[in-house]
Amino acid sequence: MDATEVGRTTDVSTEILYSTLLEDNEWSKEETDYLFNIAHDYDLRWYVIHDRYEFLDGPPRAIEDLKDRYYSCCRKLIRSRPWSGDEASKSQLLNNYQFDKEREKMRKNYIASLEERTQEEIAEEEALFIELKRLEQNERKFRKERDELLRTLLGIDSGLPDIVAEEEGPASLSTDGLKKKKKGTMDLDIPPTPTNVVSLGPPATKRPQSAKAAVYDEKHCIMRVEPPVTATTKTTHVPVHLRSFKLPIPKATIAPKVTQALAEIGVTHSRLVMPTRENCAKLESLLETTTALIDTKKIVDKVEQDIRVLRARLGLRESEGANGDTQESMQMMDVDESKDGSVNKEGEIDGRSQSVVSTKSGRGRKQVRASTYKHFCIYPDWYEATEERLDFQICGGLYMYNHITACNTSYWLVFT
Amino acid sequence: MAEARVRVRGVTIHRPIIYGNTATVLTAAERETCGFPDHTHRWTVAVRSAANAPDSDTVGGADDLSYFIKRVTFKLHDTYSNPTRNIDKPPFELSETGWGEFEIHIRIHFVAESGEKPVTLYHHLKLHPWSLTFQALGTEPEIPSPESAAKFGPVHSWQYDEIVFTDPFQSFLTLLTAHPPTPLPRTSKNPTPFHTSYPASLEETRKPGVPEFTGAMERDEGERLEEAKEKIIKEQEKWKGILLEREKELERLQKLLAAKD
Repeated sequence: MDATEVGRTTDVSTEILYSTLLEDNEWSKEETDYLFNIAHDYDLRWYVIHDRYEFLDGPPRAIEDLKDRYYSCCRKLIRSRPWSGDEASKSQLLNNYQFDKEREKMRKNYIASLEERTQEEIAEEEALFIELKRLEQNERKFRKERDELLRTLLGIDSGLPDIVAEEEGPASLSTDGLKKKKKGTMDLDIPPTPTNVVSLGPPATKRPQSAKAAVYDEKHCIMRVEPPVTATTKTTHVPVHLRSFKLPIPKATIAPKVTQALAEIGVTHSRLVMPTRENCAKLESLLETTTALIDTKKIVDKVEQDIRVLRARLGLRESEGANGDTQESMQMMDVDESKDGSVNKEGEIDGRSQSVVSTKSGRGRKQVRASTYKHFCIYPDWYEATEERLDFQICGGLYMYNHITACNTSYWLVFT
Repeated sequence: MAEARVRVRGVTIHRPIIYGNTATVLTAAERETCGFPDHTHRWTVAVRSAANAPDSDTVGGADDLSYFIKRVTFKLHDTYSNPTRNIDKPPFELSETGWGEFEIHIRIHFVAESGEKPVTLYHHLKLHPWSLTFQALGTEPEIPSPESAAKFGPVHSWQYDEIVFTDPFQSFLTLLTAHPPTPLPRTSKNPTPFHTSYPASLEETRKPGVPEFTGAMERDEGERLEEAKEKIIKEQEKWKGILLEREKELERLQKLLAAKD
């Protein structure tokens, strides 16, 4: 994905998107748009962008402010959008848009302070550094001598390894070596800056190998991965298997929905014609996407349910005192009984007529028998958990009406 | 040799195989000689390497698999005499006559060097030609008359798969790499083997000739899966849009309600 493309949304719901995702006290929508445009115009060359940045009546922005706003928006958008690649590439992309304003400022301050050192300070640092090296060297020498002595005296009982590796001689203290050393330590001291530069490909999971080795591996059907850190024992060893044994399967709770959704587009996920590694991976990613789709649909249903409850409550408010309107609010509440959007229309109509009829009859009796009813409050959580039970109850005769209690909550009443 | 018993970590190595059966209708003369007058078909069930041998009339079987497979056990329907048949030499296949379809249990035993236990797979013996009129689950398939079935030629039912060894012993790895499998041809003039997961290929599978597994089949399936994913993603985008709208609506209603309180 092009870096700037992320931000240039052509979505019809841009407004909604902005208000739900990108709202920020420091930034107006207009300025954000301006930022994305200018970022695009100057191709993410931040110094140029900062130089040309001129937003009417806007507060002065440091280059870090601009980058921070830009990258944080991009990250939010990436997270919210359906992703066609696998998870690894998504997090890889997210990493590319990582930006830590505070750290970046700290880094620049640090560089500035390095730059501003006086000659004396530099000299002092170098002297101290040499002193430190000398101390370390002495320490090592001392330990070596002590070990040798122990080995001579105690032999194998000393428990010391036979060879003590001595990595550095005094030669490393030459000025040349010192310079190199210094550079190395300097690099380490600077906090690693988050990369805003697109890195080359995903982090390699395969061992680096030559083209020749790749050809060899392909010929022999060999796949190499980084061996796990912990040693595999007999029990953790993955036994021989057929590739198709490890075909991904959707979670049991949503498996029927996944199967149905895929059957609609002509895919059988339980068997593959050619269950090769690539195809299994593709199937897995297809299943993940499908699961995400079904999750989204579920959320939509929940939100719709909430809307229905709210509408009913609003309707009730308006009709308080005016009995004639009650019926309308009833209608609104049971406009859609479907829980997953796939309940057939017929059932829906049946359910409606049934509930409307019963509301009438139930209302007559409620004064008398309300205490013998079971009350169920429609909370989305509960609703989710007892979906099946509810289904059964609809079949067995579910009666719905609005019960106005002190807390003004809608109830489902079930005859017991 | 202690070194040979060292596992090579981080390596998986697989061997492509096919398993399944071929069936032909018996002629009247054959029916008389086979000893079972009610038997209508001769079939051969087999485990073979995936690639076809050049100019051979069998599906698969280009490579001899006995370098890593020690024995294949076919467990037939109990009505057969000694239903458990062990095949200890290549080719790992078994021919029989019969009249009905049933599930065959295939157990593959590996050579001792592998240090692996046998794996079991199942194959539904297919005698009658493939058709697109799919039977409902649990019902008997429509059985065409032997005469019309014979016109279709031999019936093939094969499943491609890959036997995957993880962290193999060094000695076993050496053994495997001494026998690289014949790669599948990229494309082939021969018909594609039929598969229930891809019913649209039925016409393609009816061409004359010996069915052959090809690299194109893998690529085609990969493309089908990717297309399906694209469709799902489009759908997902649509629903995300709906969700945003609904959430907006919910918020509006909440505000409305709050304003009234």
